[in-house]
Amino acid sequence: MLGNDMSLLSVFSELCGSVVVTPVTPEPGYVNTEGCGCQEAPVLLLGPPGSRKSSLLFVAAVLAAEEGAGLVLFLSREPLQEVPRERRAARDPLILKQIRFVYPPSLKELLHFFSSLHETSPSPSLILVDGLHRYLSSTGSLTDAAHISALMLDSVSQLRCGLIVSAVPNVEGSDGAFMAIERYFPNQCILCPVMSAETEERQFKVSFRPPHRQWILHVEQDGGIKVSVPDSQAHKSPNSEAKEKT
Amino acid sequence: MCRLKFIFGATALFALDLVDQRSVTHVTSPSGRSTFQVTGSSGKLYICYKACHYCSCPAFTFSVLRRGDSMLCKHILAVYLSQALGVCQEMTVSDKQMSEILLPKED
Repeated sequence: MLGNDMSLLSVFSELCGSVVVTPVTPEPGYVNTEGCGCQEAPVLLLGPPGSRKSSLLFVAAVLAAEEGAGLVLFLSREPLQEVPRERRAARDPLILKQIRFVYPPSLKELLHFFSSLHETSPSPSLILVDGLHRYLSSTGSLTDAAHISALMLDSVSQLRCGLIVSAVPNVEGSDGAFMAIERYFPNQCILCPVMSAETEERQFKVSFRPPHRQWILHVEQDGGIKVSVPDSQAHKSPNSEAKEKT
Repeated sequence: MCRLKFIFGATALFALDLVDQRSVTHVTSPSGRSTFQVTGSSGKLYICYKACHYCSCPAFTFSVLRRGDSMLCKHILAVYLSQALGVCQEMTVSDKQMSEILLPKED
């Protein structure tokens, strides 16, 4: 079976734990309760451009590789423009050897990759698909989106391997396609921009499906990322969230 | 039977037809990967994935995905019924053939 740490949740816990802006003592048993439940279910990470989705997936890849459960596959249409500065990976280059980068250039190639996943050796323990919208925005086809989503889920479920997919929602012309993707991925993590006047950095509210805790993702000017726990006030009253929207 | 028809409407009857004709094949490969192939009423082969609802037929795209007025197409229902009744045909293929089956060619 897979370890519990191979999910997007652990990425935020990890980033939060290592570079805490406002130190927060974790409640006893907090990590454990997160460990059970839907940890291993495939997750769809949705966020606008610039919310550092690639970096988050890369951290997930490094964490999984470090755990040593097996091969980690990182799929993206184009090579990452910059490898995110991940301190662990810099410390131990062997970790990067556990991560295989694959760049399927088109939807057809991506479909082909997943349909022949059982022929891949060794079989992967975690698959990350960065920027699924880049495979769909040109056609925006509902059928294509449903097909690739279903094939990905079918493949990882049969290979007992983790899956995290990132995408920019509501790219022009892909509304229909997104309906299909969201239908197949009930487990979502949404990055929502937060207005912050005081600082130069950009902030995103990180929300998983309740009851999981919320985080704030800070994207600094130089592209570095930090994660913090929202102020205790915001945490106590769920109403404050509703007020912000209005 | 009545309940099936109540829930799935005419789809239930079409699905039972497919079950009667032993149209559902459970395909497995040495890697352990498996899937369902259903021969449609026109003789065309459709693929139904195991882990989630997906069928390569046009009705699935139209009434399940686009209009959202049904939960599944007759092929997926036929897979469930054939499994329950134990009347799936079994077929073993190589891993390579499995990859080809999982990705039906566009035509």
